[in-house]
Amino acid sequence: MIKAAKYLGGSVLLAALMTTSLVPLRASAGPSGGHVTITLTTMPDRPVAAEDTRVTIVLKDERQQPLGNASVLVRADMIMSGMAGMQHGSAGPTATAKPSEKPGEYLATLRLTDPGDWRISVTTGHSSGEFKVTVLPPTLESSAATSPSTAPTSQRSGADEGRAATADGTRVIKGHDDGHGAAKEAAGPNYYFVGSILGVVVITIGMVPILRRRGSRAERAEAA
Amino acid sequence: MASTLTPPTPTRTSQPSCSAEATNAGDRGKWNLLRFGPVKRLAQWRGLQFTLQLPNVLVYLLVILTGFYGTQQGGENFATVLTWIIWWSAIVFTFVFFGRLWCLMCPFSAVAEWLQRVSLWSVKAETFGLGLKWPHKLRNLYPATGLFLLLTWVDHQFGLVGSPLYTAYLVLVMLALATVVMLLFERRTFCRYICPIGGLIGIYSLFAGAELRVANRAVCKAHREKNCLVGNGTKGYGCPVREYPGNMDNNAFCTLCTECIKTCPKDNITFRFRPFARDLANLTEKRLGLDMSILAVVLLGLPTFQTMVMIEPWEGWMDWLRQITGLPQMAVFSSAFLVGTLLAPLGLFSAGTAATTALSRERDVTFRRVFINFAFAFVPIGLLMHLAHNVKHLFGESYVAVPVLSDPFGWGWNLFGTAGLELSSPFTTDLLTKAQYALILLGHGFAVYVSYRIGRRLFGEKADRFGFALAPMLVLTVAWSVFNLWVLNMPLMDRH
Repeated sequence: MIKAAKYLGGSVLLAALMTTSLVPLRASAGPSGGHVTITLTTMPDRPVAAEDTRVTIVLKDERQQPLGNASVLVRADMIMSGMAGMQHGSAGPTATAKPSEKPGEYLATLRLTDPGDWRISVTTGHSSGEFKVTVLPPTLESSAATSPSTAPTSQRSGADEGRAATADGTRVIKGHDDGHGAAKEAAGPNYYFVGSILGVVVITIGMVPILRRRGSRAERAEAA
Repeated sequence: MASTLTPPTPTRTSQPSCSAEATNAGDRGKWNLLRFGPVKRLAQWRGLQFTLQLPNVLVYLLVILTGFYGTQQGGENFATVLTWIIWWSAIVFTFVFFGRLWCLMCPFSAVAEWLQRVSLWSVKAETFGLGLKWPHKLRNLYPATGLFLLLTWVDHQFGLVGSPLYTAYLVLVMLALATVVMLLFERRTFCRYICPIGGLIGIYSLFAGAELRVANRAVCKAHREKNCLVGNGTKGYGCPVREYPGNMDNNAFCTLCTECIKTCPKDNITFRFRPFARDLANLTEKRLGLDMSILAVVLLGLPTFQTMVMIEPWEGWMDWLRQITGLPQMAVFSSAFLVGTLLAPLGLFSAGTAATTALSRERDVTFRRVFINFAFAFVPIGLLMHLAHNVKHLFGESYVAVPVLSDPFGWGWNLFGTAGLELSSPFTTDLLTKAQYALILLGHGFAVYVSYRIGRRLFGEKADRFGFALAPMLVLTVAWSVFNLWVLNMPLMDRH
């Protein structure tokens, strides 16, 4: 038991050393130019291809006070594939968001031409944030609206649930509901996933007796 | 500042004291590639390693240039596309089949080694540099483990894989580090003890389906000169990582540099295919250390954590943690990183180890022995999860390299006429997801097999409680595999 504690202690010590080694880096890596919180909502909640999408951006400073008189640039890029903001995306529309009557709120209108995943980049001063939006084709939009299985997801992603995101560089920091949930619900249970879990259990229970029998045979043969 | 080649100091894995039988057990039936004349001549050709290194050096020079001067859009710059979508995704697959094949052609150590040897391929008696011995206390994998974790943390914090500039800096840092270390210390000290990815490659290579070994250990034992360690005139250098082939029983440190094939006067070196996970199932306990075991457990947690940060709920969890702790983003993420890559895997594995030790009720089955041995049972789970993670990057995203090859800087060039191509992956997401599940199942099967073999080795015939003692480890393998499946089943965000 003492040895167990010794090795557990060794592991914790290693972890502590790792933490200590990170401290100087942490101190020097703080965001420059203040901490801006960017919230983005779209209307309609699920944009439809080739139709106007109204984008509402709310900026707040470090103390969560509305940030007025900002220059806000909005850019949309279609995501072809994903890897840490490395997507080879096709460039989409850009717009300068104009201040609305509410303090800290800015409005822009974008027309996202194709269905699929889009990244909306919001840049203001030295801060920027990226949001993922799934644009539906017109036919999917109508079926999604009428399909009972997708109703919970649609309600969950209402405009009043616009998600706050802290701007911290170029990676995708927050997305709108991109329809994954709806797609999964509509497709029913994932049989491959469930089957794989069963597979793990079956492999474990099945392999050990087989290995034991094989081992015993090999040992007997070796002894002979 | 010159040093001459000196006979090696014995280390944990390179003790030139053969205790092996005349013919290595279990070697029959394995296909030795060096039996084929052209392959053997190629391996003995001094220019082989340089021929493989040079293209990689040139490619990574282009990575540096494009990183500094090209567009900073990650998906449109050669530096990030080549390094993170192609190279990093693909090399993991080479570990599975060939072990440390990448080390043979690695550009980072190549430049440093050319400087150290003052030669591109020919053998020189004197080397450039201080030729110092690496300190005994640091002859382990802790520096490599720490640097690898640091690199991963930096990637998450600063968006390394999405930034051409940071990628170029990383390549420069690796080159500089390798050069400084190899000019200060002897041989390939950097590759053996420091390289951030060297430890990972070594542990994964234990699973590999190929091995470089001696044909007959008795021949090595009888051969006094040990040319494989000290070199053989103009034929070749002594082993750069100080491995003694006559005693080598695993792939962890052999960089496949082919020097021993060139220097062995007895023609006693083979390169053979073998069943996967052979090293893991047959590891000799006295050759294992806590450093290797800890890295093996870290490599169980890391691929899972790397995939977890990509799933959709992740940002929500981070937001929630920020709210309840009031800590800044970096502190919250760093804590999660520490827990996910170190504390959770080590803690859970330590708990499993304690249970197995208690249930075995054998006096000589100590916590240390169980910890060190069974850590390697989890390597297949970590490795196959790593492959599953990379399957989507390599097969689902590598097509983006086609337009980038024509315009590596993102300056609007069209060198090969492919710049404007709008391509998509030939593999559907559904197919790749199924491949991921299959890989997890395969990894789990290997983990159960290796666990069983380690159990037999540890508990032996006297263990009437064999099943009880093995149960905690099997439960842990099941839990980890199921958790990996759950993570892979979650919808992904677009981040690495």
